Amino acid sequence: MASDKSDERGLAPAPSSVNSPRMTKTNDQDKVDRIVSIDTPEQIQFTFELAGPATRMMAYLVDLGVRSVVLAVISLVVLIATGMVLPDLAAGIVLMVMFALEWGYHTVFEWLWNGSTPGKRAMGIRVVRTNGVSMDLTRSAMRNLLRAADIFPFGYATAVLVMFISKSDRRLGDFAADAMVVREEPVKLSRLPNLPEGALSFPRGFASKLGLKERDLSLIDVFFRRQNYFLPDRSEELASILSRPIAEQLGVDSPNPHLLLASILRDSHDRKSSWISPPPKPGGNP
Amino acid sequence: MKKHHFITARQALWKRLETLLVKMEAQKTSALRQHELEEFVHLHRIACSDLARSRGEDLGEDVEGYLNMLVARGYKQFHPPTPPKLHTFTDFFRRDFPRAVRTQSAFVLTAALLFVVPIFFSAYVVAQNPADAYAITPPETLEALTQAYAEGHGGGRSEALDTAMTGYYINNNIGIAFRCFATGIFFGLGSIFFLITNGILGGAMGAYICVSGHAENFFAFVVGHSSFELTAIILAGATGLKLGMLLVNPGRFTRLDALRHSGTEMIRVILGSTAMLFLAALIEGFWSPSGAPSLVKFAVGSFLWIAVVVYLVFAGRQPSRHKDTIAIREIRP
Repeated sequence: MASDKSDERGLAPAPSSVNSPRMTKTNDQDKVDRIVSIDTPEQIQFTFELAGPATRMMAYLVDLGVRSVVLAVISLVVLIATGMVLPDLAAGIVLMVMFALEWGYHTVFEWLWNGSTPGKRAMGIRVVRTNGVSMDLTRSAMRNLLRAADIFPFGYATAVLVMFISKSDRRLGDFAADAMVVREEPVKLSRLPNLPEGALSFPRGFASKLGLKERDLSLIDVFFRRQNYFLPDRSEELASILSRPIAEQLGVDSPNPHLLLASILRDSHDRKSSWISPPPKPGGNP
Repeated sequence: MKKHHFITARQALWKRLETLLVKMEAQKTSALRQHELEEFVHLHRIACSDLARSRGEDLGEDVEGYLNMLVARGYKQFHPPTPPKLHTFTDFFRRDFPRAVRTQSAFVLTAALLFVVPIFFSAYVVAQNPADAYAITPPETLEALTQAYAEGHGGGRSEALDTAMTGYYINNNIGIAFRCFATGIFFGLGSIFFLITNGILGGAMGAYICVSGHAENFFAFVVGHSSFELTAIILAGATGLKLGMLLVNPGRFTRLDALRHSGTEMIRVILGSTAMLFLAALIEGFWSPSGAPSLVKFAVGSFLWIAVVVYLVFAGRQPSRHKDTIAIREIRP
């Protein structure tokens, strides 16, 4: 790391790099990615990624399927239990179940499951209030009763129209309940990305002599973390672009580009650094 | 590489925070012991400063995304929704619902006019010329309806059929009420439309049956449940009108803020009128078609009408006497 000095002080302005931080609503990228940021009392912003109409439609269809199956099963049980003798009683019970499912399903699930329903859970989305906290019962009720308006005149046409017009992809029920639907996929964090097996015969610490900057290393890191998104050919091409100047500097003749990059990452990972301070003790302000 | 050092140094803390979060999300904040809560607060702050750090140092979107998730989940735990208490339910009917209705009494009167005037208008038209009813309802439906009232309910009917009809009423009537409310978001137009059309329909059908000579059977049937049913439809429509008015003329607020401020009150009225419609469906399903003599039905029906009006006008006017309000009084010097 050539710029170790400034890095250690942690005062140098962050260089623009492959990972542009997404912090405020005004970033151009956020207009595409639909990021909403929220200020906390700790004087920090965290962000939510809004769920789009298509994802929400899918979640709705999954919920519709679940509702239909539940209704079918209950109807069958009721019919077997009472239908032979008292078909009217069976019809009454089924109608009441139908009502409860149509108007109560979403509200009750969103209330008990912290803003989620089976469909939403399957699609990795969740309802939260626009200030980032969980929904309560009255807001869930408001959001879901207004489906009667959003569905107007058919097939949630109003909802789709309003979502396209609104900047934050919200339907009428969301506006009235002060809610938004956000993506909430589980995030896993591993220290090193998955690196290809095998080693090249370089001495330990060779990477530090290359004069690679922090941003160069994080570029390699991101390259490996995004392997799932590349086809093999494309990955090969990118690896050779990334590794060519390094290979020239080392004076190596066309090594396996993936392995070269991986050993650089491993080598610089092994090095000790005093850059990060130990975490603060409980009781004090971090 | 900074990123790797950062993750190595902090990962144990983040993992611990995640464990605590999972525990809190699965159960409740109160599931944590005192020292765990303090630990959670401490770790949440560390995660916050680490998130700021990861952005400032540009450590990559995976670190940032992970910490962002931790902070978002922790933040939610700091601001949990108020859990429903036992007295919330009783308080709702004792004071919150009628009070919420009275805060929008102007809309209730407007909605009542929008509903009742068309009833009388279409009833008058059909009474003059019964064939006019065919313009809005197929003759077969009207004939079947008249037939049903001609037979009367002297013999009562089976509980099973009562259940079936109750289920139908719940589905149909509460659906109508919800639509009456929700379509109010189109600047009140939807509520106005549904109030007037339901009024016209009801008036025409009622008048047609009465003109056919079954007035006593008809009124004996509807008098029991109509107090709850018609009032609830009017309340739902009134809330829809208020919803529309907030969008047409939000006053000093932005339209969204106006919705935000009145949302709870409006939902209270809607939940209350839903409860009324449930009651109405039960009465309509089990009591109205029962074999009780007309005189008894008229007496009970009149009593219910008076009870509903008295309830909505007078309930919850006395000041609340609850522990939470007492606690506030005690804090004051």
